[in-house]
Amino acid sequence: MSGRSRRRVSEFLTGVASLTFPRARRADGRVVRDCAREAVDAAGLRALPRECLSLAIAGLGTRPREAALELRHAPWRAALSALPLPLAAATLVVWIFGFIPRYDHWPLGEGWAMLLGGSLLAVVGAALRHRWLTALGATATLAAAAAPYLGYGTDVAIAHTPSFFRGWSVDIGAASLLPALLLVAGALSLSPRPRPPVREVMGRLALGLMPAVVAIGPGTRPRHRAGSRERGVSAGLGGDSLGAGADALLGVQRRLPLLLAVVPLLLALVLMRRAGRA
Amino acid sequence: MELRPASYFVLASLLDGPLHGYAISSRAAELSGGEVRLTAGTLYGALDRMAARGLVEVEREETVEGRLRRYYRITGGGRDAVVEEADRLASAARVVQARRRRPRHARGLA
Repeated sequence: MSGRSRRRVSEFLTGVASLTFPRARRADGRVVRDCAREAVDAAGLRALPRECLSLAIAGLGTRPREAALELRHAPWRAALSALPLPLAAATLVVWIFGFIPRYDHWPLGEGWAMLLGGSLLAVVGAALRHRWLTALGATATLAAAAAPYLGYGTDVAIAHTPSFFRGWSVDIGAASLLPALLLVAGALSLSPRPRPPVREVMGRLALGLMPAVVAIGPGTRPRHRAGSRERGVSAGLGGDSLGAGADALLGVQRRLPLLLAVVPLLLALVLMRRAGRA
Repeated sequence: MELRPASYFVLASLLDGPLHGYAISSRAAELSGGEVRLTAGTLYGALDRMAARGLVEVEREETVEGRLRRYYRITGGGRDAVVEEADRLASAARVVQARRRRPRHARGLA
């Protein structure tokens, strides 16, 4: 093999091996790669496998350290403090969607009052950037959602409900625990600073409540049958003499408001991100 | 602070002045009589660890014939560490050398 070919092979293989270095350490990778190339130039091609292996191991070795460093230095607090409004809005909309098809009598039970009231309070608190108001709402929601799993359910325990969303097979009570906990953490990370101007609060409130307004729209109303309050929840969409196509259409119709609610939620996220940057 | 042989020879190679990676590797091999042969990955791993412990520091970077070289310099702490290690090794060596020099029967009586 000619000298030029040897050099090409060496440069290609060391170049490939140096790709194991993470993007943030590319400059280090280049230094090590060039050092390996010098070693191969001096010792010949027999040193190439050893140098390539060593280069690849060094690159892979830096990855866990780099990942740990990134995790440690990530702006966790800033990220958490950006969460409360979108998360509270999402929590409220999810509970409204869970509530409307299930509940057909008044007054509200204490569980539902805490879930809906807590979520609403969290939205208002997040709009005001008020730490304790948001935390109170989030904690109430978390406590109400967790209560049935701790044996403190109301007459119709949330834990006994296979799904709030008919046919979706989602135990939203359990699924909401982590986001609710995150909401509490997000609320507590809100920095105490001067109350934002009324116009900003109103804007944030409108953004926070917009998905909920869509959620309580007419499309989500349940079609109650006598004595079907519990049965309807677990029965899913099939059960009538409709064909599979009609079932699917009905499913899409029922989910449409939920899907529509995602749009303002995403819009709220985008606007808040832009506002945060400004 | 006990040093591994590789770290010891890397520090020893930097005692005469700053060197870049490949030069450190060559000098360490030379000083150790070929005992310590460091590949590029191993060498920079060791240099990274030593830099984190404050034994060496990056002096400068320069590109020579299209290749990026990073020069390292030994710090005061690194100099102390390598001298301390040399003293430790010398005193450990003296123990054995003193016993080797004594006659065999004297060693048996001791």
